[in-house]
Amino acid sequence: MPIIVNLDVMMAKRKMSLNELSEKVDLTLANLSILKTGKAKAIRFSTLEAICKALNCQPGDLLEYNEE
Amino acid sequence: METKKILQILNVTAWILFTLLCIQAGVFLFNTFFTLFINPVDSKYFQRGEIDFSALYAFSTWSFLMVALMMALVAAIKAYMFYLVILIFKALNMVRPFSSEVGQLILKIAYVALFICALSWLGTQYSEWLLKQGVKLPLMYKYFGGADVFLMMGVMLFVVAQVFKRGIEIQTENDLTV
Repeated sequence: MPIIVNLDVMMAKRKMSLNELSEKVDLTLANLSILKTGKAKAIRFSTLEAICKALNCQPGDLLEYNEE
Repeated sequence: METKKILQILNVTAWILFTLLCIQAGVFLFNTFFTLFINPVDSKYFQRGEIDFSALYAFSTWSFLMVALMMALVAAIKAYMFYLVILIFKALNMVRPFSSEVGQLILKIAYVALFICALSWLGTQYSEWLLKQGVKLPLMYKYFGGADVFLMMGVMLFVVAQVFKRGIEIQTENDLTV
């Protein structure tokens, strides 16, 4: 998929673990892992909002379009 | 009525029909071999005296064998179809109803229905040909009838299988939505 999720990059920048983020955004580790590994087919605005709030970033910091 | 209850009733019905059809296929096979190898008089009392095949047996042993085996085969394949229905009930999970296993089973039932349609049509044609030859046959509609119904069923199940395939895709997409 040409949409790349840079969640791991942002997490590293903010020095936040997956467990910590999972507690902050109220998402299961399995779902966060799906998002982190790029297996997700879609993301809800509410999830995006919660992650942006927890990592103090913009949606553009998390998602990137890269033509294959 | 609750969906779970309806499914349970259908499951029990499928089991009953599966058992009855297995017995019917077994009776046809047993009677055929009993008539051929032990006592030819049995042709008169085929299926507990409901079917009199004595004229057919007198006309040709091969024709008798052909009709009797076709009847047994149709019953056996119908039983197999109900066995597949039972497998669907076993594989069905109402929390995640769209699984590839159920999809495959629906597709299999569609193929089986089409096969029964072809076999029933062949049986009807052969019975009609025998009647034209002057062989006195009992009413065969009960055993070879309904080819058109099975054709319709097969085609409809093919459509259902395609819709089910899309359902699996949507479910997978939903599972991967975070």
